[in-house]
Amino acid sequence: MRSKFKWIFTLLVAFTMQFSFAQEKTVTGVVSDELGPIAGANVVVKGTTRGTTTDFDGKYTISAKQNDVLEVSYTGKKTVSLTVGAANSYNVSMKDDVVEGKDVVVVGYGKKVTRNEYTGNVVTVAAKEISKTTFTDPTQALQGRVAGLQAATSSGSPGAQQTILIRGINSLSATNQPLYVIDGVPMTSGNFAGSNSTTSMSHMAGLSNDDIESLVVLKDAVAIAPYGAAGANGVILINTKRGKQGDAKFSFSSSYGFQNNAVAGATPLNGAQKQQVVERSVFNSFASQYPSLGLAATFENTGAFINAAGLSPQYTDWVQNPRQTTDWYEDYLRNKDAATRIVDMNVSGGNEKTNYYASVGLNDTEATVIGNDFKRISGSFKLNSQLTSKVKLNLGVTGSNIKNNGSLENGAFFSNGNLSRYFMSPWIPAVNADGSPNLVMNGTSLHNTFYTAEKDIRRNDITRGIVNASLDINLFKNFTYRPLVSADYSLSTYKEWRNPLHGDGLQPNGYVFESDSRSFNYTLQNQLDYKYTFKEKHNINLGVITEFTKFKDFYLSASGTGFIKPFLQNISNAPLTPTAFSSFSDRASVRYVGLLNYNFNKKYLLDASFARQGDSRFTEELRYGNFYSVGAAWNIHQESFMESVKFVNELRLKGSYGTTGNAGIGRNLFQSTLGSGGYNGTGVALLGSFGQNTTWETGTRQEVSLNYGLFNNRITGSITRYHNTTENGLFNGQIPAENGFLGATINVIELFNKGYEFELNAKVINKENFKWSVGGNFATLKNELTKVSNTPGETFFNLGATRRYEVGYPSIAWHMPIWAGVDPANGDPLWYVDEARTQTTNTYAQANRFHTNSSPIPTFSGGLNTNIEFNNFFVEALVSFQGGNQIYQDWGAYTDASWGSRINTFNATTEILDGAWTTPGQNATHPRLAWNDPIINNAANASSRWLRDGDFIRLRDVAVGYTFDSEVLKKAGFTNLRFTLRGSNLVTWVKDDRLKYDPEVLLDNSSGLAAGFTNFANPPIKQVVFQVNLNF
Amino acid sequence: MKKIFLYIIFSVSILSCSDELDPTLADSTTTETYIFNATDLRQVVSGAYTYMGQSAYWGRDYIIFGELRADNVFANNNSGRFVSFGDMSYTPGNGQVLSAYERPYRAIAQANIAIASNPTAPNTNAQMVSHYKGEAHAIRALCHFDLLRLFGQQYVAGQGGQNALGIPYVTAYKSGATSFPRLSVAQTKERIYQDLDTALSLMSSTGSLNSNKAFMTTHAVNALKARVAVYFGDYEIARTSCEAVINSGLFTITPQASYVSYWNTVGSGPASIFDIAQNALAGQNNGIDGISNIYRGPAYGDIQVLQNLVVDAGFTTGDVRASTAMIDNQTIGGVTRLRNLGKFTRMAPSWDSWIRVLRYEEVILNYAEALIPVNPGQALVELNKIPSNRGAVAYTAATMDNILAERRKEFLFEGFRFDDLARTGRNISVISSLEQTHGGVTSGSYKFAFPIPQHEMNTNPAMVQNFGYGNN
Repeated sequence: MRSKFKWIFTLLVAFTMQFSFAQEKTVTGVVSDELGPIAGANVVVKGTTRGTTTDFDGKYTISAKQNDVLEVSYTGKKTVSLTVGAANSYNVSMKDDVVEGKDVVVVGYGKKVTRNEYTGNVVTVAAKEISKTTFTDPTQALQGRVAGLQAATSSGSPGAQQTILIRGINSLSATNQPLYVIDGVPMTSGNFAGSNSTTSMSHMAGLSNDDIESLVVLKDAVAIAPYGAAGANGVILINTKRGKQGDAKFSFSSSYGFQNNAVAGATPLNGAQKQQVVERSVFNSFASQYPSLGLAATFENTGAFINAAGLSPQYTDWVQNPRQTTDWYEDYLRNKDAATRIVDMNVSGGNEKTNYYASVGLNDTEATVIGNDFKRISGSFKLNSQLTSKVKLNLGVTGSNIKNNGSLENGAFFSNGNLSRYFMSPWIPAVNADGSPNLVMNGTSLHNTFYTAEKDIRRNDITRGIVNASLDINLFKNFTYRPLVSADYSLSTYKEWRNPLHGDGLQPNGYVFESDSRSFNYTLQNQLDYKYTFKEKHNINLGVITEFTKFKDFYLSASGTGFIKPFLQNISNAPLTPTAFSSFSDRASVRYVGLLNYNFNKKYLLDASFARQGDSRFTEELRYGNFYSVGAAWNIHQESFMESVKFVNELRLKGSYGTTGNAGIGRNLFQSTLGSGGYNGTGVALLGSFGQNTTWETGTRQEVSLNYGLFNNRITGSITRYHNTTENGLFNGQIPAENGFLGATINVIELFNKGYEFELNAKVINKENFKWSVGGNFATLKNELTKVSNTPGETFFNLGATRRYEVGYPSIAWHMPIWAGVDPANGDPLWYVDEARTQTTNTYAQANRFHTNSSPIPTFSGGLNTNIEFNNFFVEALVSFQGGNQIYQDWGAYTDASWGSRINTFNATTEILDGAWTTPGQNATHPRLAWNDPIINNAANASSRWLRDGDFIRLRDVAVGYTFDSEVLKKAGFTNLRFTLRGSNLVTWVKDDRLKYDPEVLLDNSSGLAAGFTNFANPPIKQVVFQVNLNF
Repeated sequence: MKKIFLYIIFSVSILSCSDELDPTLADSTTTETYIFNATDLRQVVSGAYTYMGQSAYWGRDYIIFGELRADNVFANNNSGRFVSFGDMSYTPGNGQVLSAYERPYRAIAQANIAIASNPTAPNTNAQMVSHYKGEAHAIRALCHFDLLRLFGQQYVAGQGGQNALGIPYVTAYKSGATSFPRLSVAQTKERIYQDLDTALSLMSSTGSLNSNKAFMTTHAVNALKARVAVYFGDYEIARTSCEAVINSGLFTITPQASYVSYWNTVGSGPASIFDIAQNALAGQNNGIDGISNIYRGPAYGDIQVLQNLVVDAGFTTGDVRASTAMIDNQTIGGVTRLRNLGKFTRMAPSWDSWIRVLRYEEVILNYAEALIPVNPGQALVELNKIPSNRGAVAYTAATMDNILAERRKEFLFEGFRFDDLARTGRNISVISSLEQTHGGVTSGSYKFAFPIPQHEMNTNPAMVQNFGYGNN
C-alpha cells in the first residue's frame, strides 16, 4: 500500500516538473526531528548568501529557484540537502549527528537546546537504552549510565520502589529523591501499595518502558532552575514518545525471560548439619553434666544426653524418625526461573497538521519467591495538532492497571519467604506423606509459610490515569505562550486476607483488611517564552513559568475477624471486631520562575533564573522561598585562536551556582493539632502533633565543568567538580518532653556533598558497517555533616544502636561497639573497651560505642559501557560499580549466631557450621557454639562484627542482537525485524567475601527505611530475556 | 488574533483561579482554634484521661513501678518486660523511663490547652466552662505529683529532702520556652496544692457535673489532696481533705461480700472516687499492653506474685484479699505461677479493667494515718474500718507500722507499696531471694528516684540529672 503511494507521488512530481519554470519562488516548510519542530535551524541556498532560520515552530520561508539546493543545518544534527523542485513546500526531518541524542538536550519544560547554547549539566539516556531494559522500573536503566547517580532497589520484586541519589544525601528528614517530571509535569511519586509492610509499588510501575523516548537527568543549579526548589535533589525528566508525520508506522516488541536472584544469599543448614550444630552447642555447654545422667562426657553421647534430659523435643523427634530434611527455600518457597513476559505495540503517524501516537502494553512478571507477582496493562495516546496557524494543541493520555500480589517483605515477617528461608527448621516437613500441607509444625512457633503464601492474600489493584493538555500559542513574533493543564488520578485498592486455618489468621479465626486510596492531583501551568536576536550576535531567550499544583488524598479502610468459612473472605462475613477508618489530606504548591538565557555569538553564554515558590507544608508566614541561579559558559573552540588546533572540536568551560530548597516532608507537620479519640465511650480531642515553625530547607549547588570533543568528536567527555550544601535542613528533631512531645520537625541541619565527575566516550571504530564505541563515567562523593543542633555544644545524635549523626562525619555514620574477633583461647566474643583499641572484653555491656569511621554512603560510583555494531549485528554491555562504603548485615544476629537453643528452634546458615570456634588457638570467625550462654548470646548484638565492605561491580547489562532488514522483509511490508538476547545483572563481584547477600542496599534514610542494612526483601534479580522487535 | 486572545483569556482564567496554599485539616484541627464552646472544652479535658489511661502511665507502668520496686511481686522475664525495673537497674537511656516521663506531660499539655482557652460561643455555659477548667487544674496536679513520685529526689539521701530537685512544673502549652528548669520538691508540692485549690474554687461541688467517677470531681480533688499531703506528711491538710470526702456521705467502704465483685466490675463501684475508664472499644483500652495482661497473660504475665507474699504481708485466715479469688496459683502450658487474679481482671477481647486511681478505702487509711499525731483513738477506729470489712483481724493500736501493713494488704497490686516504703524511710526488703532481683535496697539509695531520661538531658538545657546516674 505504502509503496503504491510513493509511485503515484513520484509520477505526479515528474509530471509537475515538466511544466515548471526556473524562477524565484517562495519555498516554505517545517524542520523537525523525532521530538518535534526544531527552532533556530539554518536554511541556506547553497552557493548563495541567502539564508534564514526556522521559527519556534520549526517553520522557514525562503526564496529559491527550482533546482536550487537547500542546505538545512542545526548543531548536533546531520545537515540535510534537498533540491527544490516544482513544489513550494519541503518539510525536513533531521537526524542526530555524532553521538546519538547527546548534543541536543531537552531541558526545563520540554524546551530543546543544544549543548553549545546552554550552561546546565544535563545527561540524556535515550530510548535505545531504556526501552531495551526489561526491568519493570525504567529508571533502573540509569544506574551506571549517569555520573554521580547512585540507584538502589528497595526490593527486587517487580514494580517495587527504586531509590535514586544524585550527588549524595542532601537531607536527613526531608526527601533525597529526585523530582520526576513526565512530559513537563511534575509526577506524584511515592509508594502506591496499600500496605507499608508488603512489596512497595513505585510511581513508575505503571509506565511501559516502550513508551519512553528518553530519560534526562538534570544535575546542576541551572538545569534544575525551571523546577525551582522542587529540583533540589536533581530532576529526572521522562519524555514519552510522540507521533511523527507520515504513514502509520507500527512497532511490535515482545520479551520473554527468566529471573533469579542476582546474589544467591547464604545457605541455610540442612537437617543433618543442624543436628551437628545443635549437638556441638550442647556438648560445649553441658558435657560436664553428662555423668549425672550416667553418660560419659564424650561428644558421641550428646544425642543420648539431649534425649535423656529432654533438652530438645524437636531434636529427639528428628533423630528418632527417618530424618527427612526440608529445604524450605529451594523446594517450596523459591520461584526458580521466575518468568517475565512483556508485549508492547504502538502505532504512530500523521499529516502536516496533526500527528498521533498510540500504544498498548502488557507486562506479566513473577518474583523470585512464591506468592509475589505483577501484572500490568498500560496504554497511551498522544495527539499534536496545529489548530490554526498560530495555535497548536498537545494532548496526552496514559493509563495503566496493575495487579500485584505482594510479599510481607518490608519488616520482620515470618510470612516472607526470603526471611523464613533462614528461620524454618529443616527438621519440619512442609508437606505430609500424603502430599497435604503440614499444619502441625511441631517444635516451632512459626507457621508453614509455604501454606500461608498460597492461602493468604495481599493484593494491590492500582489504576492510574494521567491526562496532559497544552496549547502552544504563537502570540507575536518571537513570543510564545503555553498554557497547560494536567490531571493525575489513581485508585489503589488493597486486600489482605489471613486464612482462619493456619498462620496469622488462626487466632482471630480469619482476618480481612481492605482499603481504597484515591489520589487526585492537578497541575496548572503557564509558560511564556520570548526569543530575540539583535545585532545578529546577541541571542536572548526569556521565559516565565507559573505553576500551581494541588494534591488530594482520600483513604478508606475496614477490617474484620471471625469468619465462618475460609472461602468467605469479605468483611460482610466477618462478625467480630469490625473496624473502619477514613482520612483525607491535601497539599499545594505554587511556583513562579523567571529564566534568562543569553549568548554572544554562541561563544559566551549566560543563564540566570529567579524562582519564588510556596508550599502548604510550611508555616503560613514562612511558606514562600526565593531561589536563584546563575551559570556561565565559554565555548573556547569558537575562539579564533583555536582554529589552528584542528583536533579539538569542542572545548567548553562552564560554571554554575544557585540556591535551592526542599519541601519534601510530611503534610501539616508545622501545625499544632488536636485529633479525635475516645474516652469512657465518648469522643474526645487528642493532641496529634506539636508543630514547630518549619520552612524551606535551603541549600546551594555549585559546579565547574570542562567539556571536550576531540578528533572529529570521536572522543568526547567532561570533567566536573561539584559542591552542594544544605542549610536549615529539615530534621525530625528531639524536643524536651515537657512540651508533651518528644519530637518535632525543625530546620537545623547543615551538611555538604562534594566531589568530581568524569565522563569519557570514544568511538574507537566508526565505519559505515562497523562501529565500536566505549564509554565510562566515574564520580566521587564526600558527604559531611556540619551542624546537627541549635543547642550550643551539641554535636551528635545517636540513631538506634548502630548509627550516629555527628558533626564532622558523613550524614549517616556507623557508630557501634567495635568487634575484636573471637578469643583464640576459648572462643569467647571480644569487643574493644577503648577507642584506641588496646583493651578487649568478652562482656557486651562493657563494649563501648565508637565510630567505625565508615558510612553506608558510597564514596565512589561509576559505569563502563561498550557497543559494537557490525553490519546488522550488535553487541553491547554495561558494567556498574560503587564502593568506599560499609553496609550492615542486619539479620546476622539471627542467622549467624552461635546460640544453640535458638538454632534448635529456628535454623542458621552454613557460616556457623564452618566458622564457629572449636579448638584452643584457633582464629575463628564465629564464637564457640553454646546452648544458652549469655556471653555467647550477646555476641550477636549490634557491633562492627556485622559490618561489611559495600564495594561491588555488577555486569548490569549485556546483549547480543541481529537486525533483519532484507528486501524479502521489505517486500512483505516490514521495515525491520530484530532479535536480541539480553542478560541483566548476570555477574556480581563483591569485594567482601564475608558478605553473602546482595550489596545493593538502600542509601536513602528519608524514605522511611534505614539506609545501609541488608534485608530479607526480594534481592535484586538477574535475568535472561529474549526480545523480538518488529517494525512495519 | 481575536481567537488567540480568547484562548489566552480562557486559559488564564482557569490557571489563576486557585493559588490557595492553606492545607485542609480534615482529620484534626489546630489547638489554637479548637475550643469554641463548653463541649469543645469538655473534649479537650477528656482527652487528658485517654493519655492518663495509657500503658506508659496509669494504664500499666506507673502501677507496676510501684509494685515491682518493693516486696510484693517480681519480673519473671517471661516476655522480657520490666526486667530492669525488677532489679532496679534502670538507666537514662531506658525507653520505658522516657515514656513514663513523657506521657504525664502529654496529659498536662491537654490540661494546659483547656486552662488557657476562652470559649466565646454565644450562650456558652459559664458554669460548665468553670468546672471543666477546674478539672484540668486537678489533672495537672495529679500528673505533676505522679512525675514527682518517680523523678523527684525527695527520698534520695543527701539531696536535701524537700529542698532536693523536684520536676519542671508546666503551666502552658507551646509557651515558646526552650528550657524547663526543675523546681525544688517543696516548690513542686506548693504548685500541686495551688492547682488543687484552684480546681476546688472553679468546680461545681454538686449536681451532674460533679458526679461521674470516670472524671475528676471535687471529691476526687479532696482525696488527691489528702494523698499528696500524706505523701509529704502534711497531716493537717490531709485531715481536712479526708473529712471533706467523708462528710460528703457519697462513698462507702466496699463490704467483704462484694470485694471480689468490686474488682471484677466494669465501671465504678460505691467505693470508687476516681477511676480511669477502659472500654472494650477500639482505641479505648490498652489491649495486650494493658495491666491485666502483664499480671496474668499467657504470653506476657511478667509480673508474678512473690511466693512468700501472703505470709510476709501477714494476711490472716478469712481475709478476702488473700482468698483464692484474689491470689492463687495459675497453671498455663504446664507452668504454675502465683498470680494476682482478683485485681484488673479483664482479659481479651474486651481488656476493659477500669483503673482504680482513688478509692474511699485510701481516704479512710489516709485519715487514720493523719489522725495518729492528734487523736490516736480516732485513728484506730478509722484504721479498723478496713479489716472489719475484709474478714481480717482488727488492730489494737494505730501505729505507723500497722497503717503500712494494712495499706500493703488493701492496696496490693495497685502501685502504692514503693511510695509507702519510701516516704516512711523504710528499706526495700527481700522476702523471696530467688525471685526478687533487686536484692534489697536501702532507704535513701539513689535508686529511689528514676534517672532523668537521656532524651531530656539532650534536649532540655536546664535539666539536671538525678544523683547516682552520672553525667551522661
